[in-house]
Amino acid sequence: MKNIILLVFLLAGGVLTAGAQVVVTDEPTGQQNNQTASGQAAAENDESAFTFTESQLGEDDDAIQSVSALTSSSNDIFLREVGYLFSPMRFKVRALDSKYNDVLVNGVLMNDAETGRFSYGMIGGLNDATRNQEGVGSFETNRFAFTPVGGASNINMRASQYATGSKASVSATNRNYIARAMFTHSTGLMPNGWAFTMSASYRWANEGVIEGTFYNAFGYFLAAQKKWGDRHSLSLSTWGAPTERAQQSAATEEAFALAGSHYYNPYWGYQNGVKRNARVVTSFEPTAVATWDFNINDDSRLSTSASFKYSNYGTTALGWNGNAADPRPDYYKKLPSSAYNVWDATHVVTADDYAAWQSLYDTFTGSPAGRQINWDQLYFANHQANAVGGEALYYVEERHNDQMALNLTSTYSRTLNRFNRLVGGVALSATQGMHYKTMSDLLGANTYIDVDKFAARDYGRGSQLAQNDLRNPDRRIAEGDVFGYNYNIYVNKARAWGQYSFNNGPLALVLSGQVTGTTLERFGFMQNGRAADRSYGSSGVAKFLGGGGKAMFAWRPNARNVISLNAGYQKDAPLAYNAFIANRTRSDFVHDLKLEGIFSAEASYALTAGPFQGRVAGYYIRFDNAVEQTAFYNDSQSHFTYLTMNGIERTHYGVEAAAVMHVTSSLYFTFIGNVGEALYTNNPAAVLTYEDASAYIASPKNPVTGQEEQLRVIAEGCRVGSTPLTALSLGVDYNVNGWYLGANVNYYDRVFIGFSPYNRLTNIYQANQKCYVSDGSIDENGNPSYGVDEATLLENGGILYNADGTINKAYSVRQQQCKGGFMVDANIGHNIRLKKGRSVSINLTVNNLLNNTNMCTGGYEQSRDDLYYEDGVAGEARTYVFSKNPKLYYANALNAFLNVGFKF
Amino acid sequence: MKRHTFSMLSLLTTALLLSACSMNQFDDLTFTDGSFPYGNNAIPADAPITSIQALKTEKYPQLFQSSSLYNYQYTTVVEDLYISGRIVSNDESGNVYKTIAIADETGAVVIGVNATGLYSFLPMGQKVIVSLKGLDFGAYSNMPEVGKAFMSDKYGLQLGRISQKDFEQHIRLIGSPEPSAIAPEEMTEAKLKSLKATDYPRYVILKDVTFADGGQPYAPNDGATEDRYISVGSQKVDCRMSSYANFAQSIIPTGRVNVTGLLTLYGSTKQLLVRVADDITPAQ
Repeated sequence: MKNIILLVFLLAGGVLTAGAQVVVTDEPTGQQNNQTASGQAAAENDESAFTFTESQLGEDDDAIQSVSALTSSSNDIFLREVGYLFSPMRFKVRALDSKYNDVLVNGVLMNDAETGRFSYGMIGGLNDATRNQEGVGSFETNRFAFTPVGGASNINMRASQYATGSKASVSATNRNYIARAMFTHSTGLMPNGWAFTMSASYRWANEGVIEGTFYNAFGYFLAAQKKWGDRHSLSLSTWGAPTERAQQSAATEEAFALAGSHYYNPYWGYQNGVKRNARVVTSFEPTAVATWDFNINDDSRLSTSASFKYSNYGTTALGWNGNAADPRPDYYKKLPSSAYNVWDATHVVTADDYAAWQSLYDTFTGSPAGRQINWDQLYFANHQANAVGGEALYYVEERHNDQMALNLTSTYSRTLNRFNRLVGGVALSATQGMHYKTMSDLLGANTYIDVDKFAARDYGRGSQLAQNDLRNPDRRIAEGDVFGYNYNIYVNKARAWGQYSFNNGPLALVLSGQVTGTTLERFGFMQNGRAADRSYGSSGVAKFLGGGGKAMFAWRPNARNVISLNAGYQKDAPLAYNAFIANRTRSDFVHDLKLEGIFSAEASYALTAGPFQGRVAGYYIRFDNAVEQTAFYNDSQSHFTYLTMNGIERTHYGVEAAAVMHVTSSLYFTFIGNVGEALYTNNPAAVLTYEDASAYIASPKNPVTGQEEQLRVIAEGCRVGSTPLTALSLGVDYNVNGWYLGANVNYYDRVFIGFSPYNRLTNIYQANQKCYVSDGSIDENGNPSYGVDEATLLENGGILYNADGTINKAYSVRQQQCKGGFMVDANIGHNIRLKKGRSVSINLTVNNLLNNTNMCTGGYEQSRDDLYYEDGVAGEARTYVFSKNPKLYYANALNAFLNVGFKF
Repeated sequence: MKRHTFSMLSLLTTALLLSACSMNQFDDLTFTDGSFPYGNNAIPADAPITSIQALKTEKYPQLFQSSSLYNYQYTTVVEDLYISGRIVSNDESGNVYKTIAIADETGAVVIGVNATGLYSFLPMGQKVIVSLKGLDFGAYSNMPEVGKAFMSDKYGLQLGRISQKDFEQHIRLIGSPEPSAIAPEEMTEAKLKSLKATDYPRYVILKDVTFADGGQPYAPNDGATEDRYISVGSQKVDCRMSSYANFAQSIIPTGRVNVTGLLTLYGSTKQLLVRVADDITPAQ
């Protein structure tokens, strides 16, 4: 009875808090855009759209592993297959970001509390150790969590859960790494009540399939468990995967074409004849989980876990100083299309245009060195600077996102009778994110002083505004020193959840609810000159009370048919990652932060008929009050820029289908498919913040009334990018005499390029003359005339104002789309049973058998428009057209994975 | 079991050792004369050098004999011709833009290059040899300049900038930069009066002078270039201040100052191109 009261309380709490408002205390009154009109200087530097760390993007590690969360023990054929099958195209289930998918270990949530995402690098290479997984969709009943809309998986790392014996494997592949070795040994549960499991792996590539990338990763897993009788068990598991790997960059289609490959990687260059990559990720996230399992009686169980993680994550990048030229080989001024506007058919190409084009073309295509980083020159520039007593002109910095997290989770489950079951739990977590950058390599230079080069350019080197830390002005930086920015983010979370399930033959009902409390705080260790009173110390604490509830209903009229109807609504606290307008330099929260609302509904039908098993589901997910932040180097303004969209509304809907047809006991066909849509449905408010407060673009003003308007992003109609919204697969599997053969034909389409909110800002529209005012006249169709045709609006975007200043309609800039296509995979494997229970298995998987190298997996538009600016006012058009040059990624060419395993 | 433990431990140790060695270790580079990764090391270090003044007054004197106020005559150098000198320009601040200047004992010349951040490879005091063959030399609004002709919308063919790629083929660096090896020439009123077109550009210092616009910023933030005048006796010198310069927002001193820079000619206007903020110092 107590349990039922608890559950009712939780459900009610969830529903009630779903409507609760955010309580923000201690937050100093925010000023958001402290922009002063000042130096808009020569636009010579361009740090491409600042890319977030891969772990934040969910683009971590090898693709196969990155979506494996739902691959095992799922009851849903679609979810079971999709993770592996569509991973080469970076398919996202229901187009959902990985922050909507929880990964737990022994019931402890392992997602990063700041980004919301699970870092797969944490368990990199530990395939054997993470094989015991229970994956569930959002509306499936489970024993471990109130699952988010993207589902959840719980990895069981208790030592006794691993198969007794040893397992060794070696693999060869042509992916991110080329060789892998793994070894796992488990004692199983020994008569004395102890169980031990250990696993280790090593992955290596001197150069992976992408030129200029290396891979060097170790992984370890150690677990011990002790059982006392049938009631108590204690287990301790610890693991980590120290990894060092070089990255691959997105590039424009022009760069790919000139380099002759969709796998051109501008991140590397020659240093003294040896390939060196500027972007190296070093990560190590040692984690330990202790779990106490208490079987209270036959019907109830209590599982309590505590975990501790200390993650180190750093990414290096080239930096340049003073007025030194941009060292990146694919900087737009080094591309031939920057010589003149090649997209403008009316442009008359002069001999000089052509000569300039040819010179750039020759450099880029002449030799590989001509389109890669010239490290020797970077060192030489520093050597020259040393000779004249100057500062480093080029250097390598490392951006650190370290984190310490402590979790405490307790889950209670009780089977009331054969029809009713209760599960509930509490979880507490405290996270301290540490964000700073260090000087990784001065490239031979003697000195570097910690000032902001953009502010120094705008205000003069002597200005207080140029200082990155007013408490340590003009600090001389040596290799290993922290510089630029240094702050902590504190996130505390508490959650209580409950789930009641009723199962009575044809009817099944599951009700669940949760209440969550979240606090966010930034603490700055530097007093930034551009935000002298808003950077050092605490930001104050923002508090959020959220929650939600779900109902799942299934009807099973007979053994062959199941119909289920599910719906839920929840409100989640915003992520720390999006909550500050410019977290590197300032402590200001995004103004008017709210809980993100998520409504989700699903209807499905499953049929099992003899050799056929199939399921089709329709889903609808609606987000409101979402917050998204992008940060990038803004070439139009020559400043590092943060753009936060607040109050985003998004709708994801579609159909998922999966079917398996057994033709014989050894031959079966599998179909899975998803056709979905993921649309932004409003034009959210935007805050534009420059790291150097001097840059500014005029606020949008109503073209009729002249009154200032709320800055917005015209996002309506844009789609979630970098995932195929259409993905279909037909596979065949055959096994005989220990041989396994399989092949899949996969079709992907409707991959959109991630849209740039910046290019859709209302003030950028105004600067680019995309605001059209009705002159009051009527066109031939009886509609008000705006002097612009629909095709132009659909292509370039635009806002139509009525004669009274109200907005009739707003069009987003057309979002670019990749071409669809087919990819074929095949695999063959053989199992040989030996004596004494030993066995050898050999597997060969070939992905993209037809070597389709034109499958774009997504990318991003460059966040800058096509005009020059003077003092915030738009001027003439640039010769290089950024809007025509999104940066793209392509799916790997033909690649194979050969694995030989030995069990003994 | 023991054997397994042993193999397990060996694997662990090996893997740990392997992964403990970073694959991202690079030693600093050292550079020796003649193998610099910038410029063209194939230009002979002992190439026969023509002095900069001889280039203007002996090799191509006819280019500077025009009576026009705006002389844009140039020629393409077709013979093996080398000049050598030290860099006296510095584009760090952005006030000098896409230009270098080289001075030898006889004079100086500017070279238009379509690149920024030139100071990072060619700092002040760096000795260089420039092979002029294939480049264009002549007058740009009367001032001697090396460049590459281009078709201007308004004025037809005239001297412009050399592409970065091309420029690197025509220059060789000799030794390390020695900023102390260059010294500006003091310009007096008398000297200023006597200068002919071929005497420009020059690396100079104007001593004990005042700006007409003391108290104003060097250049307001309007994207334009500001004329800030200095009088040296009867001679007026126009200091060209770009609003893109990193010191543009600083305030012009009201007192007496010494100003160093490149003295250039535009038509009949004497211009002084200040390179960095430190070029303007209080007069003793």
